[in-house]
Amino acid sequence: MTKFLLVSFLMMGVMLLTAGWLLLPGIWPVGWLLVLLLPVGLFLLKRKFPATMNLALVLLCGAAALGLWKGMNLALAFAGMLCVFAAWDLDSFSHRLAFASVEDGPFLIERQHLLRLSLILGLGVVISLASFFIRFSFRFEWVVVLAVLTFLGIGALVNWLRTKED
Amino acid sequence: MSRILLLALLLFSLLLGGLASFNAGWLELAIPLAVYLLAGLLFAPERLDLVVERHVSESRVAPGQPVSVELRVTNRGADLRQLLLRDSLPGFATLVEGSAQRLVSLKRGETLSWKYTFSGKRGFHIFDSLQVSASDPFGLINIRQQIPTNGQILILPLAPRVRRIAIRTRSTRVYSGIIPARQGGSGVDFFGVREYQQGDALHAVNWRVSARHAQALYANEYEQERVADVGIILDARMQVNRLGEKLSIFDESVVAAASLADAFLSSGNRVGLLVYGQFINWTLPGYGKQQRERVLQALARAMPGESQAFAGIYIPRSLFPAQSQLVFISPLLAEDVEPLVRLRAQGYSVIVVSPNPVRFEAAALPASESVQQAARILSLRRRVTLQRLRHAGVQVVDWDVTHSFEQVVESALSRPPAFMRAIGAGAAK
Repeated sequence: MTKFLLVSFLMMGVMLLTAGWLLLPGIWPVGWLLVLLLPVGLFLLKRKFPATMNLALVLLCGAAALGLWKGMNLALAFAGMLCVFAAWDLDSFSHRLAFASVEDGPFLIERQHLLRLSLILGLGVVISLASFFIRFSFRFEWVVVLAVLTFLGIGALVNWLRTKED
Repeated sequence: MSRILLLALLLFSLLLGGLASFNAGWLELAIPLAVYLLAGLLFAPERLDLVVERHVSESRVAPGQPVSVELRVTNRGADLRQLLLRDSLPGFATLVEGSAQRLVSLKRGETLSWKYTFSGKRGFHIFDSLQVSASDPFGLINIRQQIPTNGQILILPLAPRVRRIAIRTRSTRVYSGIIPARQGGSGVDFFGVREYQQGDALHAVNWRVSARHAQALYANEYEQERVADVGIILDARMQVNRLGEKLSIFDESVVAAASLADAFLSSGNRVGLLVYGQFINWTLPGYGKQQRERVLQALARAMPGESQAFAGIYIPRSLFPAQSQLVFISPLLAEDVEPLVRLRAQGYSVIVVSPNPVRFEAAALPASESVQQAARILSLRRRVTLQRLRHAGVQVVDWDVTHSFEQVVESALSRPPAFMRAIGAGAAK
């Protein structure tokens, strides 16, 4: 079930992003490039190449972000990226699930994880939609302060995570 | 790159890029990532505080006998949502029942007990730790630990029973046994005639010889039978034992060594074992059941290995008493002939038991014309090598491993070879 959803989400994500790119006038080759890379990605997944989904996430998030910058439909970019993100999570989960024995009830573990993932991503979608409708306007100085705070916050988070991993 | 680092960098890039380019879409993309990351951080495990107890059903078993390992894991710390427990299964073991790894959630104070069963052909393994890994539900933050445990398992090699192995060494030990000692005394085989001494049994009187000498009586003398020193040398060099990527004939050599050691020790001989491979593993010579146990344990631990220092055969003379019996167990290389002949020249009686690697490998490969051709050529080369050894006075047993070891050895070694019998007869005269 997990592997099936992983492949389905990946394919859906690529299709949505491809559709978004194809709708942009003049830069349609990027969309076809994504379609061509999909079988490569699936082949690497089948061969259990370790960094496949990491690469797919970075590439496709990049494609979504770049597409938005070029004027891609937000809904397509957002939905595509969400599907790829779900596939990325399921890839990691499938590796962990492989260690479960029959006594652990892998089916139950799978269901619990899918429910959790749906809740978290659903919450993300709700917050995104809310942010779409709720608008704040900031002065330029506040925007700079926010950017610096974000920069410092994320940097601190990355540092903390690296020391925790060590 | 770890997942959480990748996620954080992606999030950072989207947020920074969105703020820098005033693109709200990028910030929208970042929101689900941020929620996911925060959820992972919120439910991340803090630290592991687990107590592990292990119980192994047996510490020493015969090959193929099942061994059960029972583990009890108690969580003394905070609740753990995703706890991965991995026990190291020995490389030589095959899982029979249960699983050596579990993926569970364990609340504070809860205890998990589980059991798995495995079996194996031969080997030694110490269960020194249990690998534990706890993570948040999304696998972003992992805390790993190796919790020390105790327990070990020794699977002794198979030792097929061989009834009798006839050897004839130039020197023997003091204790009585079954090896002709080239000395007169009490025994079974006729050795010579000497003057009658008071106390000799009347049936020992040789009346024919006595009739030719009017002054004295003569009695028969028989050949004493004693025990001898036997050194078993097991060739554990990788280049000799490994045939192709996954095929190895070493286990067959171990079976031969175990069987021969058992046979020699049962006859009362003093047996030592030398495993020659990555390093020299020497089991001091001894007698009886204790020595048998030591030898079998050494064979259970023996593994083929590579070493530049031990690429060719060099057996230190100090390890084996002069004129003792050496049994060399090896598939053999052509270059091994010289050192073995040198041992023979130094006064040792040498027997070579050689599991046939050509037939072994050919049986594992698909039957084709090229394989058969190659097997024929290699068999011829091997025959030349064995002939060179035989001409030097080394007794050679070419063991086709598709046949049972007991059958082959009993037909080849139940009587000393003709030239040894002739030497023995000459010594008696």
